[in-house]
Amino acid sequence: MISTRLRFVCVALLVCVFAVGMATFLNYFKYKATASQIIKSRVLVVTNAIEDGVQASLALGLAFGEMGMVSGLLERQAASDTLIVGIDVFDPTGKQIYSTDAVRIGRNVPPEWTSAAFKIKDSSKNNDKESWAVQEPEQLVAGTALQNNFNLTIGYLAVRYSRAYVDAAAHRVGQRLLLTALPLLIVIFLLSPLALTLVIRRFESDMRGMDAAFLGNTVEKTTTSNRGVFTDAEILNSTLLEAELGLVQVRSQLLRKR
Amino acid sequence: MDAKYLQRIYWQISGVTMLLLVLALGANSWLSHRTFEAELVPEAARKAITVASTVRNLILKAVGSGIEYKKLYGVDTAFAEVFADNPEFTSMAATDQTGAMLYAAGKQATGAESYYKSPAILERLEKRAVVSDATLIGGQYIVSLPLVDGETPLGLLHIGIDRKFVDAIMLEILLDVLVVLVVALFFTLELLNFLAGARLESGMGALADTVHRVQARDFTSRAGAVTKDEIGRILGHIDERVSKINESYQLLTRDLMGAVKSASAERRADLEKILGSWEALRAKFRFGSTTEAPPASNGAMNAIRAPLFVFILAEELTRSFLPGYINQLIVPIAGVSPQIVISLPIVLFMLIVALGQPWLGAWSEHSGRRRTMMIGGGFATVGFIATAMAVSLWDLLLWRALCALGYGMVFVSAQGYILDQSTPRDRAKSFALFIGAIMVATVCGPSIGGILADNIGFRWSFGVAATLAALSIFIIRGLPMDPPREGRRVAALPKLSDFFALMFNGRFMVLTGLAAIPAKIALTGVCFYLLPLYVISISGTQAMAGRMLMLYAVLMVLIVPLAASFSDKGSSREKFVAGGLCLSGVGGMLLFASTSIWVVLGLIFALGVGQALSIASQSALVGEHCHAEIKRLGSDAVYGTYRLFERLGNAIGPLVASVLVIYYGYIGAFVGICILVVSCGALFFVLTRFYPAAKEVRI
Repeated sequence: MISTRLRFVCVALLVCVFAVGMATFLNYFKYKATASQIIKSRVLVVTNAIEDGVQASLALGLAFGEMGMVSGLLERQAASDTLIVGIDVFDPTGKQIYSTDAVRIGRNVPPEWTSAAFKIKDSSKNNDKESWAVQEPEQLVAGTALQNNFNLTIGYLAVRYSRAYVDAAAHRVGQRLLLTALPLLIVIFLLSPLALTLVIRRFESDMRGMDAAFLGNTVEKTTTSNRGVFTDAEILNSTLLEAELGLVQVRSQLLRKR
Repeated sequence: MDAKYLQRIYWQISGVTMLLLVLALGANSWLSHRTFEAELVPEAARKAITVASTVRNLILKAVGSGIEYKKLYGVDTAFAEVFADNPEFTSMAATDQTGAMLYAAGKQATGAESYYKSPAILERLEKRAVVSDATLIGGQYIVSLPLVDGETPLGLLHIGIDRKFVDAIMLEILLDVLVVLVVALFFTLELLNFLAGARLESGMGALADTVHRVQARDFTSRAGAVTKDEIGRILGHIDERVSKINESYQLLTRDLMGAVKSASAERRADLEKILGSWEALRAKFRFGSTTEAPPASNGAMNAIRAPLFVFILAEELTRSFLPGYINQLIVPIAGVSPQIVISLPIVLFMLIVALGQPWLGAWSEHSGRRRTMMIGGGFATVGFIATAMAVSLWDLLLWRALCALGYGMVFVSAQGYILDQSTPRDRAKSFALFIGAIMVATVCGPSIGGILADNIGFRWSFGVAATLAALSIFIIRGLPMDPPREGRRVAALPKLSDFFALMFNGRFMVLTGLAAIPAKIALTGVCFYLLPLYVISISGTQAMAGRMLMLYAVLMVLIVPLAASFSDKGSSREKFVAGGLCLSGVGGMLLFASTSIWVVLGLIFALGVGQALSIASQSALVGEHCHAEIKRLGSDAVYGTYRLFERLGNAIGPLVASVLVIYYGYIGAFVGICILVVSCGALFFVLTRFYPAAKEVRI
């Protein structure tokens, strides 16, 4: 028999599992987004020095594709943070002009990079320091637009950094959040039947009292929380008894006449 | 055994469940905050080290150029640039070898100066160690970096990260968790109702009915316990005893009649006395031979609530992020502004729902409510899946049309189901159940949808909507089977002549044109189109838009019943409608003062309160203002046309908003729609107050 108590306990548990599950899910994604944002802004710190270097060279009259110091600058900046896998500079056509990885020079960057980078083209007109980002299976890429002293975009910077680091951080926090949620759920699983029992017990006692009163059993009237329930059962019982008695009386009259 | 007893039990159980929920979420948030602090602070410290390294390089470059460390120029500017790029940094300081501050910017933490001079910190200079450990001093996590020029130690560079940086992140999460809490509370009520409440209510109802019937000495029918719980057991016992009494009565009647039939004339006279007692017993009690249970309409009525809630939730889930998704798939259309293109899928959806409803209603009557709902659920499921995989605006339009068709079918069939199952006596209560399910879905859907879109993306969020729509089909299967086709009533389709007759009717058009349509334009134009796009345009999130839409829905849930009861008691519903419309628009005027997100929130608040005040009275006014038309054309035609116009307002809303955006921008569009609504409200007030024909009808 599925009792009312069990049904309500199930509802309470279901709702709590939903709420705690949803909150944990939100926390996990929020951490992942925030940590990714911090790490992205960390790797983008190096772009400031590169941009300053490029702008200084441009101010000296050097062409964008002929700056000998850029390769060394990229390597120094890449070495400043162990998280950085490599740094590339590509022109508006997507062709890589400078890179910490010599084999990449002259090659085109993936189309995802250019489509992401080109999106910040317009906003750069507002002098906002915008960045772009692309997720690849093995690495994450973040970058900015390289502008000359007249705020015209002359190319793009791409900083490649370790995806494993970001994933590991998210994984670690995911585990911690899960380890927070699970004991909490266990507590709820233990607590909710107890808490609900306190409330439902009165209802169950009313129903038991009514059932007992109806069956004609002796029942302590104080056990019921609702006097109306008890009276209802008593009236019900007496009505049925009256009918049963009436039928017995007529039956006995009939038997006597036989 | 009365309704109050049941209500008391029900609310006690709901209260305990909600208390458990609040405690669980509170504990979860507190523990998560600790996890976040433990994980995010080191991450921010590592970033601070990288930033400090670049500043250190600048300082060392200057020192390398021969400038004395203590006489550097422009360090403040360098620090200011760091603050501008990294809002989580609160203070920066460069100290000498003794820890005395030479350069400082930002708000230094209390006790920072003595911390900089502490031996443990100065030791780092000697060891020249770059440690990414952050120490909490006066509400700031301090990260320190040694400044060493070749072999010469210069001092230390310190960056302070505001501890509130984690709190600020947590605040946004807490807002999301608050949304989850509100949604979970509504889910609790729905689940309690679906899994337990409806059963308890029908069980208690059956018990109360049986008690009253037996107390009235009526034994003609049995309770027919449908549950196997405590109530079911009592009902079983009552049934058993009533059955035995009926059996005894039937046996007695058979024996008595047999005896009378076979008795001699002398013995028959003796039996007359027994027959008298038997007749007296029959007069006192109503015995029965039937064992049929009374119809349980309450259970059938409650059964529609769950599938309807789940289905509407699927569609409502998409409200806060659909415009953003369309924006992603947008394709240039020659001669059409992108703003209008974004509104097209929403307009198409609303148009199909509006125009399709009369025909879908007739079709559902013909094909069966349950069957139509299942087909509609199927269309919507396919529509959501395809929407999730849409490649361009063109196929998105097609899939949204499919969703609209499914939505229209389910909505109309559910409405029809309630009409079929209810009696005129309990129709209002039954429709309250219908509206309740929709309102709860509108509270939960946009907010959860926004959170999902932010975290798992648009496409997966549509996937969740598809899952919900599919789940609703599964629940619809549990509804009672449709009656045989010959038993169904044939519906009359709306006549075009009635439509035109009403369209040129002044009284009717004052109500629809100045109240119903503007109210819906404001709803869909502001809430479904402008709000999601504006929030994203100011670097907000889908979740933020969802939260605002939730506020609107919560206000509707809370105020509509109150407004309805006040307007029913009061003498003038017109004032409620006009006042509500004006209030809806007043929020827009605030945008003249400021365009911040808080003012937009104020606009949504005013819109919610105003709409709630106005909507409750609008439908009732149709009966009051169009009494003559109802008499002439029938209530179905008048109300059907009224609803059609109202829903066309839904379709016009995003279109009006998009045109306003082209010419006046988002803020201008908000203000424009608000001015339109206020003007309509004022005009409605004037016309209903001074329009003689309207008064004539009311008399």
